[in-house]
Amino acid sequence: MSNLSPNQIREKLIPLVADILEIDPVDLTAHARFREISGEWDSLQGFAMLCMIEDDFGVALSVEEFLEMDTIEHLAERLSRG
Amino acid sequence: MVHTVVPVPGVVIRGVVASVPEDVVSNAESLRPLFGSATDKLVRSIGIESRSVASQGTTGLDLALDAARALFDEMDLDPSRIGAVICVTFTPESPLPGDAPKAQNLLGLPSSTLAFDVNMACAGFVYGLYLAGLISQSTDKPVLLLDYDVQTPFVDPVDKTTLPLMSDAGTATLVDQQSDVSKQSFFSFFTDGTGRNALHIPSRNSYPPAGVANINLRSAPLGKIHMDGFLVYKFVAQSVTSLIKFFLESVSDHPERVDNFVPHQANMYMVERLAASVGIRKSSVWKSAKIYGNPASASIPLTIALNGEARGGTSDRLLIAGFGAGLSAAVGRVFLDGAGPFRVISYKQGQE
Repeated sequence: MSNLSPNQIREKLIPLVADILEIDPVDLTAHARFREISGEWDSLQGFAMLCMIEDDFGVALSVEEFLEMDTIEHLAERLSRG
Repeated sequence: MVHTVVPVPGVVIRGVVASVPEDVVSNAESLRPLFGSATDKLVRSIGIESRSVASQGTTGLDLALDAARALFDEMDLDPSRIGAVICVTFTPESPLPGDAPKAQNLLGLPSSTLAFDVNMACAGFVYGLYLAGLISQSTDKPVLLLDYDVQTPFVDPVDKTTLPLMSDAGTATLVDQQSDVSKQSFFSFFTDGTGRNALHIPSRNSYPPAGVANINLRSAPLGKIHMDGFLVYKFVAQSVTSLIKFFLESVSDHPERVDNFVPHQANMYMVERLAASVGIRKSSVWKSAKIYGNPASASIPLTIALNGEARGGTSDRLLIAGFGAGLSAAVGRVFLDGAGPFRVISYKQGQE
C-alpha cells in the first residue's frame, strides 16, 4: 500500500474506521482522537482496527505501536511508510 | 491457504436439550469488583449480560446427562436404538477412562454402543456432528452427541480477559441421517497449531506460554485458562472468516441466502463482526451468549436449543461454525428436524 499517499490512505481509512466505531464517517475527522469520539472505545474495537489495517493496507502493526497512535492522521502517516 | 470441503450424506439434528446450572450470574454485578466504573461499558461491548456458572461439585457430565434424560423423555426414545455416544468436552470427570463409558452405563445404552470422547475445545461440536453423521450412516442408528464443559473452575478470578466471557453448560443432541439425496451435508476444517498457546491451560506437563515475555502478557497460573485476546480475535477475523467464505463458495451458497447461521458464541461483538465480514445478514445469526455467556463448544447446541423451536422449521438448513483453541475452526452444513424438541432446562444440583 506504499503506493498510496497519506491523503489517499486517510480517505480510505475514514469509512473503514467509522464502520468499526459504528459512527457516521462525516463525524470522523483526520485529527479527531478516534478512541474518544464514540465514548464506547474498547479493546475489541482495537483488535478490529488492527485486523482491518492488516487486511486492507497490508501492514501488521503491533499492539504496542497501535496504542501510540490516536488519530487518523497519525495512522495514515505510519501506513504510508508500509 | 488451502481449504477442502468434505461431503457427508445429510446429517440431521432431531432434537437438542441444554441443561444450564441454576446459578445464572449477572455480569454487571459480578464483574464490578474487578472492572469498577468500566463494568457497564464492558458488558455493552461484549454483549454478555449474564453467565451460567456451575456450583462446586457439579460436573459437565452431570449437566449433559440431565439434558440427555430430558431428551430421551421428550422423544420417547428407546436407549437400545442408539448407535453411539460421543462426549465432546475438555473437562471430563477423569482423563482415564473418558466420560463416554459412564454415559453409556448411566443412560442404559447397549454394550454394543460406540462410546468415546472428543477433546477439541470450541470447534468440538462441529467435529462431533461430523463423526456422528458418519457413524449414523455406517450403523444405521441415531447417535447421541453430548457436548459440555464446566470450565469456570479453570478461570482465574482476576483474569480480565476470560472472566467476563466463560460459562458452563451441558447439552444432548440426537443426530441422525436422512435419505433425501438433495439434502447433502458438508464440512470443512482448519487447524493452525502454531497458535496453540493463544488459548490454553498451562499445565505442569506443558511448556510455558510461548512468547509471553516478549508480548508482555501476564501468564496465567498453572491450571488456569490463558487467552491472548488479540491472537484469538485475529484468528477469527482472518482465518475463520476466510474458511466460511470458502465453504459457502464451495457448496454454491451465497452469504446473503444463509437464513440460519449458528456460530460459536465467543462474545456478541466478535460474532456480529464475523457475520458482517462474511456477508451474512444480522437477522440470520442465532444467539444465546447474552443470557448464558460462552460455555465453550456447548455454545452451539445451547444456541440451537434456545432458538430451534422458534426459528427452526422442518428440515431447516443450518450453517454452523465452531472456532477457538487449537487454533482450530470447523464449519458445517446440517439440517434441523423442526419437530424437535429444542429446550433449555435448569439443572438443580444433587438431582439424579
